[in-house]
Order: sequence, then structure tokens, then C-alpha cells
Amino acid sequence: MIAVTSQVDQPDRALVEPLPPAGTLPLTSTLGSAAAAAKEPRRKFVVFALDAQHYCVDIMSVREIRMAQTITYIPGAPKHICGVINLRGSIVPVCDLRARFGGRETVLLPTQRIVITMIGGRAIGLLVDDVLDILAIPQIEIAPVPQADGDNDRPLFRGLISHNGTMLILVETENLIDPLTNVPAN
Amino acid sequence: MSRSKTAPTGNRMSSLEPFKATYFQECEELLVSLEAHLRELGAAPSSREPLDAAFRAIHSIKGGAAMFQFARMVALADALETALDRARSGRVAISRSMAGRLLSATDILSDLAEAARSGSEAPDGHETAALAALAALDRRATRTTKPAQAKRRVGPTTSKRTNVPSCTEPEVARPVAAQPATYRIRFEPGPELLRRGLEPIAIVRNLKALGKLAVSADVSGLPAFAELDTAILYLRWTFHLTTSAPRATVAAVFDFAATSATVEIVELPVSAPTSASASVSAHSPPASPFDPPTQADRRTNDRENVADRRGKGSDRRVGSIRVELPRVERLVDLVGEITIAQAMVLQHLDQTLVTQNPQLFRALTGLLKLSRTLQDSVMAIRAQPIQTIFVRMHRVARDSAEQLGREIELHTSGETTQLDKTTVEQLADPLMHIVRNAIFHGIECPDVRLAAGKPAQGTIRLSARQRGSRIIVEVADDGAGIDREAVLSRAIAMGIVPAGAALDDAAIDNLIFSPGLSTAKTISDIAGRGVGMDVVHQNIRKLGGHIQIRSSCGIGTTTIISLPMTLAVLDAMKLTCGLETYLLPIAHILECMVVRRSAILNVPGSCKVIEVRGKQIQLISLAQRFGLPDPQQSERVAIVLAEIDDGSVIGLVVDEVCGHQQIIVKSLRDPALAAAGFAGGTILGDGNVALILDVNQLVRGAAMAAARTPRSMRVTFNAEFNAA
Repeated sequence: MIAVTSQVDQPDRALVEPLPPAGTLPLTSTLGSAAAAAKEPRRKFVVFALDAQHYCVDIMSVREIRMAQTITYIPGAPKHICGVINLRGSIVPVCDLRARFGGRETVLLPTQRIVITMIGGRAIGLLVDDVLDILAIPQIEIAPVPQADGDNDRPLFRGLISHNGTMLILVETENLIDPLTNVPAN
Repeated sequence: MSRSKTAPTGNRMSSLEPFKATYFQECEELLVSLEAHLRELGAAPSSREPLDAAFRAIHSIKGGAAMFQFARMVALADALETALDRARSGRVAISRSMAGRLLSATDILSDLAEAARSGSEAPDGHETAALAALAALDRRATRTTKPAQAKRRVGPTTSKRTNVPSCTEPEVARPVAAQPATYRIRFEPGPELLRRGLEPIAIVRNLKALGKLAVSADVSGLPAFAELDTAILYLRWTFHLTTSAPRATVAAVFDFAATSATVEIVELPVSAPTSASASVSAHSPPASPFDPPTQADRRTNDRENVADRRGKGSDRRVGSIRVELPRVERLVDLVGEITIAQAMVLQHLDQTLVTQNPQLFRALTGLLKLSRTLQDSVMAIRAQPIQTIFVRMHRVARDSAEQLGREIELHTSGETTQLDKTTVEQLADPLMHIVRNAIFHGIECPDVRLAAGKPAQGTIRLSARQRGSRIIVEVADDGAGIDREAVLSRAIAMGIVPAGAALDDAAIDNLIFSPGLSTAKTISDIAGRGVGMDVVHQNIRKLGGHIQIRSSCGIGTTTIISLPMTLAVLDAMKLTCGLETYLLPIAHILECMVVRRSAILNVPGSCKVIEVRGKQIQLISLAQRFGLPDPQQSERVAIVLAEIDDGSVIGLVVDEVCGHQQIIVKSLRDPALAAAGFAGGTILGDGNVALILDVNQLVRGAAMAAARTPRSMRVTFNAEFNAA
């Protein structure tokens, strides 16, 4: 019932290397812009959808991607924590990214995915609409986010990536957790 | 420690390096036990057990320190050992003050060990005072004995102190206890000695351990070979033993054989020859030609060896191994999974099938029983008595009291209360802070106390007990209590509380957990910087606990810490409310009942109340509290009466009580979840997470805002999704 769609234990064996053999992952892999210098070190990102927009997170912070499963509601928890799940015997909180980014609270659907990330040494699930792809992007293709609200020392987004005509928003996972809990990340 | 001095043996050091960590760990445990035993000794100076135990501990500490060449530790440990040995041999009576000195020396020894562990050097002369104090004990002890002996003893010990013992000795020489004497011992065992499973070789070994031994066997009793009965002992022995051990110790060697042997011990003049004509090596087993050791013999032997070791003062071990924590954690996790799997099996098992099949029923009951035992045993591995940190508090109290010139007596109770190892470790700092605080802010100076009609000596009570799924640790002092006026004015001055705010006493007391608040007029290194209690508060919160303070002016302050027993297996009742499932630890539950809704009295604007056997009980509706939709407007509801920490009773209104279940408590240590105030979570038979209610928090919290999104939709969907 609850299947692990993909498990990425050692996600970054070699940054430039293509993804593991097809079949182990239902996700397709494409390289970043072909124009990018071949020698430029690339980082890999997990791309996911939230409503109509595409976001991505550094694959180094992703532990695994899971199908939607029952999320136990925690009364009194912060608004962005939609509950907890059972991750092989340990209890892991799930962050409703949509709510975290200021949107409405998510209603669960079986097509959704939970991206288990390690944030500040703890496992946190990110509830997203779908996981689309894993991309290898050279560092230089990451553009800064134009800061509308001036100085923000804990920005939620690290940059913007333009890929095949789509804009990806690179999420800074480390900063997801702090304002979320009002407790220092350590 | 002083590696430069030990350059020639550098190779040996490096080969021992891997064992150093183990030694320090062991040393820490030994220091804890040493301190505990010394304190016990201070309370009951004439008791033998703690004295022996303390001696064994210090002996082991010294041995290890010598092996790793921590010269300063060896010197101090040696002085301590000497003092304890004197007490053991009865040449000096243990008194409270002596126990106090020994304790202070132990504190210094811990410092030296800590310095050695961190690779630094303790300040020069750190142990001088302790050594001097121990030496003073020594002199006092020797004054009571014969001057000739005193001279002998003072010589080696003082030289050892000025001139640190050579560390290449595998075992630092034990202090010479008394002038050696030579005994001639005739041992004539009765013929049935072997039949009783006693082994003469053990006697030889034990005697040999006491000193220089010459043995001669009298074989005149041997019959002709054909007539030899292997179960009869025909031999007699004469021992010449030169030993400094007292005569009683020598006689004690023969204790076990006393009923079946004649033993004659004669002290010879010092010049008497110790060689006997027909002496055989002490190594040759006298009984062996006739008596291949039987199992019974070996067993006796072991027992004797144990006795022997005890006599020699080395460590008596129950037998333990060191296991890396991850392995234990894996075991704990697996046991947790078994519990869940078991719940799953039971959930899907056809009840009629079980009742109709007595054999299946029996097998199942047996299995449940076994897995329960397994759980308890595995949890016991991780659990640690809180004693390990309580013991440390004695030193904290001693040091702070000394520094402030106050007299403090620290009482502890419930030391055997078991807590998860990590919790115990992380509780140490907050607890230390609270104890210091109690001494600094709570206990008054002796003259103030006397003026207030209290005994000059302040008392701090440290206690631990289990209450349901939680462990309650209390620190109670009989000091002045919290100066509420000062706290409030300080809080107002700092802007923590708006001026003119009306706060009740409890609220003011709990203001001391606010960051930066300190009412101390002077700042010292013990307390007064105002960074203490809020950090304590945070640390306890991190452990999933809560902290409360109760104070009454002039009578004292009590700090109450309530901690979850993380990872513990717990008996709980499964409650449903809407479509959510919650668990309530059985220890909190007084009774469950089903009532009509009409029986509930709704006090408008306040709360709901029900009358149970003439008593009005406040009700808390879980659905309302948690903002859950309440789709089942059934006529009847279930009410669970639960007792909270302060002894009062509340009723929880739920839809249904679904029965008892064993659960593994998984902590919701994540700060995002700890804030929600549950005792933890668990995983149910269906693989979903369910939350464990903390009734104390339920009482405190206000109703949550009505459902943000209709939770039931989400859960209904999930239920379907899971069923698919």
C-alpha cells in the first residue's frame, strides 16, 4: 500500500554521472542546458510541482521520495506541519509546503508525494503535488532571486533556474524549518 | 597525562591508546560508585559493605590510572586507597568527617580524571590539599597504633607522595599493612573433605596470596595403592606462612573447611626458619594425584576464587559487557516492530477461531507473554537508574555550599527510577543548575535560618518517581521561597510583564524561566547571571518534558520536572474521536463510562461538568480541544476519568473507548511537535501514527481554534486510500 517510489541513499556518488540505471527510478533524468560548459561542476536537484509552479531542492538533502500515505494530524502543531507519518518505525513530521509558502492548506490526494529531506539533522517530509524529475544543473545557471522584501537573512529560496523554458524555484531547505518551529534548528 | 615524562614507554602508551576511552568510561562509573559508597559510609560509618565496595572501586581506578601512566591520579588514588585500607583493617575508625575528606579527595580525583580525559593538565597543586588531608588521616591513624609500625608506614607513603610511584609497575605496590609475622599452620582435613566438594588446593592458593608460603605435605596417612579410595583425603599439610596480614585473615582462609578439618595456627618468633624439610612447591596441587577435579570441585573452586578476590579487594563483577549504543537501539527498534506486528496479528485474527481452538489460544497467550518479557528485558538495557546523576548532585551541593558558606544536606530518594540513557545524560546539566539555584537563591545563610526558627542546615530533597508514562523529578528546598515581589518588579523592569499586570502566585513563580531574569544582587560563578532557568526550561522541553515551580514564602521552593519515558513500552487505552485515534496511558485512567449526552451539564461560557457518584468532574471534549469535527452526534458518548499529576481528576469526552493496547512510545522530539504537548506518538497495527495524550497538558491548554480545514475529509480520504 505504501510504496517507496524511489530511495536515494547515496544520492551524489558522482555529480556529473548520469542517474542510476533506468528502471530503479521512475523518474527521468536529463542533463542541464547542453550549452553549459562540460567542465562546470553540476549539482543535482529534485524537481517537484506545487500547483502550477515547479520547485526544486538539492538532492543532497533528499533521503527518499514516498507515495502519499496517511498523515496523522497533530492538534496544536504549527500551521505548516500537516502532521506526522510512520517512516519505517520512526515518526517524521510532514511540512505542507504549500501552506509554508503562504498558500492554502493542502487536501491530501493519492497522487501527491512526500519528499523526505534531512533538515538540520532531522528527517522532515515535504508534501508536494508531484515529483517530476531530477536535473543536473551547473552552478552558474542558478540565478539569484530578486528580493522584493529587501534584506532577509533566512530566505526560503536560494535561486532561480531556467530549464527548457520553465522556471524552477530552488528551495533552501535549511531555512524551511526555523521559522516554522520558532525554535533554533539545532 | 604527563606524556613527556614517559617518553621511553611511548610504544606501550600507543598500544594502549584504544583502551583509554574504555578506561575513562569505566573510571567515570567507578568514581560514581565510589562516591555513592563513601556517602553511604558517612551515613553509617560502621557498615562494612560500602567500605569494601569503595575500596574495590578506588583500587580499580588506581590500577587503570597506573596502566595509562596518569601519575597524579595514581598518587591521589593511592592515598585514598591507603586510607580506605586502614579503615578496612580496623586500624582507623571511619567517621563522618573522614568520609567527608575522602569525598572531597574523590572530587579532586574526578577533576584529575576529567583533565586526563580531555588531554589537558589539571592546575598544578590541585590535589595538594586533598593529599594533605589524607595524609593527616594517616598520621592520626598511626598515632593509635604501635610507634614502630607507624614509622614503617609513614615512610613509604610519604615518599610515594613526594615521589610519584613509578608507573612501569603493573600494579602500584600496596601499602605495607603491618609488620610481617610467620605462622606455622597445621591443616589436618578429615577424610570426608573431598566428598563435601572442598578442594585443598584453594586453601594453598589463598594462603599464597597472603604472603610467602612454604608447604609440606604429610603423606604418612597414605594406604597401599590397592586400598586407595579416591574419594578419601589421606593427606595432611603444614604451612609456613610469612605474611603481614592479621591472624584473623589467615584463619579465615580455613573457614570453609572448619567443620571437617583440624586447623592449628601458631605464630612463630620472627627469626624462626620458614623452610620445612619436605617442602613442596605451592604450585603442586596436593590432591591432584588422587583427585581429578570433578564438576563439583570446580564449582567450589570458583566460589573460593570469588571469596579470594573479595578478600584481596579487587573488583567483584556481576559480569558485564560493553555494547555500542547503536546495537542496542537496533534491538529496541526491532522489539518495537514486534509489538506493532503483534498488534497487527491480533487485529486481523478471527476471535471465534481463537476461542474455539484452545491450543491456538494457549500458544498465543504464551507468545504474548514472551514478547512482553522480551520487551521489558530489552528496555531494561537502555534504561539507566537516575542514580548516576543524583550522585553527581551531591558534589554540586557540597561545592556550592562550601563556596557560599551555607550548610546543606542533600537527601535523595527514588534513585533506582529508570530512565532512558540519553534522557539521563541530558538531564544532568539542567538538574545541576536547579540544585545550584536552590542553594544560591533558596537556602538562607545559617544565621538567617536560625532567626527564622529553622535548623541551621538547609535541606534539599531530590526525588524521582514514575507516574504513568512519565518520570517526575523533584528538587525541593526548605529555603526562603521565591521573593515574588522582587521577581515581579524585575520582570516589569525588563519589560517581560507589562506594568500593573495582575499575576497570580504561580504565574509569578514561573516567570523565573524567562530569559535574562535574575534577582540576585551579586553575580557569582554559581548563579545570578540570569541565563540559568530559561536554559533549563529549554533543555527540559527538548527532552519532551515540562517544568514547573511551586514556592511558598519562608517554607521553600519545589521544582518539578516531568519527563517522558522515551522508547518505553506502555499499556494504553485506545480512544477514538471523530476519525482520529488517540492513546491514553492506562496509569492515568481511573475508569471509563458511557453516558447520555444529556447527563453532561454545560456551564455556559465555562466548561462541561458531569456528576459521578456525587462528585463534580470537569470534562474536556477531545473533539473540541483539538478542533476536530464531530460528525457522530450520537446520543451516547464515552467518558474516561483520568488522574493528573496534582491528583485531581478530569473526564475526557471521546466517541469510543476501543480497548487496551501495548504501545511503544516514540518521542516527538521534533520541536515543531513537542510544542503541541503530547506525551509522544506510537505506531498502530495498521501502520499509522497515533498520538499519546498527555492529560496534564490537556488540562492546561485552551481549546484550539476550530478545525482549520475539515480534518475528517482528509482522514476519510486516507481511510479509503489505505483500504485500497
